[in-house]
Order: sequence, then C-alpha cells, then structure tokens
Amino acid sequence: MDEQLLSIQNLTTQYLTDESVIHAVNGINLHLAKGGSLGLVGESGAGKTTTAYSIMGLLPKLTGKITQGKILFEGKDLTRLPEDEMRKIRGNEISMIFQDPMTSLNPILTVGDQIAEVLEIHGTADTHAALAKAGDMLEMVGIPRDRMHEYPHQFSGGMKQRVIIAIALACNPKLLIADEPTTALDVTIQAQVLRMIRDLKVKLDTSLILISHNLGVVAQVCENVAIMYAGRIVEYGPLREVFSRPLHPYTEGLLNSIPRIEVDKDRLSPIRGMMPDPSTMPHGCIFKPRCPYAAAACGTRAPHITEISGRSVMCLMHEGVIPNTMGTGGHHA
Amino acid sequence: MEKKLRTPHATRPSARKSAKQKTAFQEFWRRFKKNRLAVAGFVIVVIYILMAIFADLFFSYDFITENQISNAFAPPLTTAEIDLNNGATAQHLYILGADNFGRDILGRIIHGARVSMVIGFTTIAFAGIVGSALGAIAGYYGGKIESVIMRGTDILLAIPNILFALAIVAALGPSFQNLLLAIGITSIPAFVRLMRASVLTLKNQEFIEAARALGARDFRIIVRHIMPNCMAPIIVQATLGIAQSILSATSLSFLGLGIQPPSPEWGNMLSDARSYISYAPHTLLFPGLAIMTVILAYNLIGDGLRDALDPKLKR
Repeated sequence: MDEQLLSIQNLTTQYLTDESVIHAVNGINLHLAKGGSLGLVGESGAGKTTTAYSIMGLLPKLTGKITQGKILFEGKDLTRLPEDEMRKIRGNEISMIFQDPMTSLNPILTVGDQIAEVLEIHGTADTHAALAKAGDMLEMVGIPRDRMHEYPHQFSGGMKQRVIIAIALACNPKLLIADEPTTALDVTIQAQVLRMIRDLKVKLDTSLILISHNLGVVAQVCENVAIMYAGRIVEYGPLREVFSRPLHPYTEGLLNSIPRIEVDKDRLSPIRGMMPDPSTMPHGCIFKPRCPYAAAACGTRAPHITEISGRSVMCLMHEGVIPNTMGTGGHHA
Repeated sequence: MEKKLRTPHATRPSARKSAKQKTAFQEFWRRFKKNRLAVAGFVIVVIYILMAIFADLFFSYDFITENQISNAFAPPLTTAEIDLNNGATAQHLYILGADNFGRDILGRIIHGARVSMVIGFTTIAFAGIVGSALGAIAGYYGGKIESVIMRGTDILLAIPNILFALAIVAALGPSFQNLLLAIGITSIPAFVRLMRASVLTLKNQEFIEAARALGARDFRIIVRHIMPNCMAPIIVQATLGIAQSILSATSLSFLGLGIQPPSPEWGNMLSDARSYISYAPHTLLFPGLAIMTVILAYNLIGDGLRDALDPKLKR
C-alpha cells in the first residue's frame, strides 16, 4: 500500500451550544495516500465541512470541539498541534478551497496581492519574488499574467474560483481540501474548474479531498469515495466499485436519485424522509428511519464497520445480522 | 483547455490596470461632485487650510498678538495708525476691524484657523487610530475583551464631552497638549462603535475564513483584510469628527480652558469680545462666522462623503 499522507482515526467533532450538543462528526475513519484523491459525499448537514474544518483546525473556537480521535498528517496529530504549528501548516501544507468564489476573495486587494500574500505569510518568498510567483500561478490556472493587478470584481465567477485555486496551490501544498468548489458555478464552468483541479493535482503531485453533495462531480475527479451520512462514513471504497455496486442502502438511494438518460423511468426515486436531528441521534442504525431494507434488528443494534474486499460499509446486512436483500429495492419498492 | 481560455484576453493591453484604477476614484469623484453643497464645503475647507498654512504671509504673529490700545474697537474698513516695534508708526487698514486691544481681527482669525485646523486633524487622527484599533479588536475577538472595551466606551459616552474635557484640562492644566488630549479622548467612542459594527458584519465573510485557512495571523487579518474594508464609514465619521473637535476646542477656549490669550483662537476671541456685544458687535460677529462656516463646511463634506461612499463604493 502507498504511504499514508492523512489518516483520520475515530474522529468525533461536536458543536456545543447552550441547549444541546450537536453531534456533527461521529467517529469517522479515513485514509488518504500520498497523491491520492478522495471524494467526500453526502447531503447538507452530513458533516462533510465539519470534517474539513477539523482537519484545518478552523472549527469555531467557542463552540466547535474535537472530542475524540486523531488526525494524523504525515504522522503528526493535528488535533494536538499548538496553534502556532497549525498556522504553519495551513495554506502551506494543507490548503482549502471554499464554496463561494464570490465572497472568498478580499474585494479591495488585487488578485496578484492575494496570491502573493500566502507566499509572504509562509516566508516562501520576499515581496518581489512573491508577486512574480503570483503571476506564474495565474498563468497556470489559465488567466493572463497582466490581469494580476485587477480587483476581484473584475473577474467572472469561474475566474475567481481559478484565482482561489491559484492561491490554494501557491505554496505547493501536500493536501488540497476543496469544499464544494463548483457548487456556486454554472455547469459549463464546473467542468472546466474540475478538470483544472484534476490536472493541477497531477502536475503538482498534491493529494485531494473533494467535498461535494454531487456524485457526478466526485466521479470526474476522485479515485476513492466516502459516503457520509449523519456524521458517519457509511460506505467507503474505490469510486468505480462503489458506483457500480453500492453496498449501503444510502449509497444506492443516492445513485437512484440521479436522473439517467439511458434508463427509462417516469419518476426519480428520492430517499424518503430527512436526516436525523444531529442533537438527538436515533438508537441503532442512524439510517434505519429512511432505509427501505430496514428490519427490526436495525432499531436496536448499531452497525459496525464491515470490511469487504478493500471496501468498508456500515450496515447490518453485511454483518449477517439481517438477510442481505440489496438490489431488490426493499419493501418500499 | 488553458490555451483556449487564454486567447480572448491575451491581447488585452496591460494599460488596462491604470485605466481601471482611475475609474474607481473617478466614480467616487463623480458621485461626490453631484452634491453641490459638499463641493462648496470642500472649497471652504481648502480656503481655511490654505489660510492656516500661509498665515504668516498675511500677518505676522507678533503683530496680531500685540496691543494697539489707541485703535481699540476700530470698526471694519478703518485705516488707523499703528505703532511698530522699532518706535516708528505706520498706516494699517483694519479690514474686519479691531478688537478690545486694537488687534486686527482678520489677522487673528487667520492665525486662529491654524490652531483650529491643527486641533481638528490631530485629535481626529489620534481618536481615529486608537478608536478603530479598539473597535476592531472588540469586534474581532468578542468575549471578555469586547465587554471591557465596549463598557469603557459606554462610560466615556455617558459623560458629556465638554465636561470630560473640562475635567482633563482642569486636572492637567490648560495647555495645548492637554487640550488635544482631552478632545482626542472624547472623540474615541464614535470610532470604536463604528469599527466594531463594521467588523462584526465582515468577520463572518468567507474571505476572512479563507485568510485564516491560508495561515494568516489575527493581526494580519485585522490590519490587511478587515480594517481596509471598513474605511468608508470611518472616513465619514472622521470628517464629521473634525467639525466636532474644532467646536469642542473653541468651546473650551471660550471657557478659558483651551488656548490662552494673547494666542489667537476663535473661541477665546469670542470670550474676549462677549462683554462688548452691544458696543462693538463686529468683534463678536467675525470670529463667530469663522467658526460657523468651518463647522458647516466639514459637515457638508461629511454628508457628501456619506452619499458618495455609501452604499459601498463600487470598485
């Protein structure tokens, strides 16, 4: 197996509010090899962004807390690193791209200055060299160098997202976390930006975690995929296998919710119901209330991670507790 | 793919930059110009500033501080004989008349402008920097630091400005520095509140989070990313604040706690002249007009800037 770059072990992150504890991430395990790419897929509120913030150490100071687990990045546990050390890693070794390019750039600094800034912060280059590098970075993302003196409002959404990618990659990070990088862009620009992320990832030998609620986006870029549901990773495996033969009912449900041109179907089949309230998790399997295959046992016994030929899944069907009826559509069909 | 995307822009001249930046300022100037009153205020302030800078070219400081008792209360536009230091005499035209000691009122107003402008700018520079910094810290960090800073400014706000300035000057003695200090401190709260409010709206913007994700320190985030984005309301407040400061300074001088005679200051000119209001109204009228026009001018500029900068300057 390849050398591990990032290894998340039993990560549990909670938000503490006055009234309740929000269980945002509940003991997830993730591994990312050097140069690998991982898609993190799930509905809104599944804990994808919280996972990213936990890695970056950017959880809100007063409310967000990692209560358990480790995040090993090149062997260092990021959850225990002092803020000073963490700051040296952020933007330098781990970079993050945010969802909305419209608001992710400072409106009163030129894009060149903003790219140069990250180089200055990490002392990679002096002011002059940093600006020169900023020009190089712009060209790398397909924006002419002489536009580096312009302000963000002079760029379109897609170009802004490229500038943000240029900023994120300026220090040549080992890991890039892209949090819904294309959600705010229209479809044609989405494809361009995704292709660029993929090409640059290969060119710069950066590992990638791509967060998205869109399976199609992940499919274009990632080797492995982790499906998140209510703060847990319910299924993990190589992208092709997961998509062609999902092991978890939730994954199957997600795939069935995508319109497909080659399948003649009058209606899409959405997953019924809503994700459970993260402050009061149900007993047993968290997906039981929405699961078409659910049996009585699912309400009392929480599933563990089951490893099946390099993939992992959290479902009692694969633990042999209840009969495996995957693919039949269950009793809702 | 990169190539295809590049072609439409590749021929774009790099001169574009300067053209665009100019437009930002031109846009502001275009909006400001639309407000005729603000432009009038701007012209008046420029005239006063020029007067303050070149005061010595019009009247020497010695001349306007020396008594010419024989010419006391000379009405405007009288020509009278004055004693020069070397014992000789000369003819002098009192354009705005003379005060109770026979000193030229126009000269004293011009030299008084120097004092007022210096007070206005230095106190607001002081209050603006200290107040903005405190406001930014309070807004950015929140929690206990915020409570301490904001309650401090609340206390300052609860004390009437003049009373507070009086207390400082009374305690430390009436000197120019103490006057600046007193007025400067009373001007701080407005900036603290304004800055804090702006920071609160800005701090949850994604580009602040992005800066943090780049490994920027809090100091860099505040100074480079937050404060410049809050400048518009601060500039407006500073302009209005200058008017307030000048008014406070003249008030204190009027009460005898600011600039001490024979140094010319509009407030102490009024104070000296008030006993003669019915006998020689011009001694009171002209300094009063000077104060009024300057305050009015700054307020007009302030309003004009508010309109031109807010809603947020489209850059």
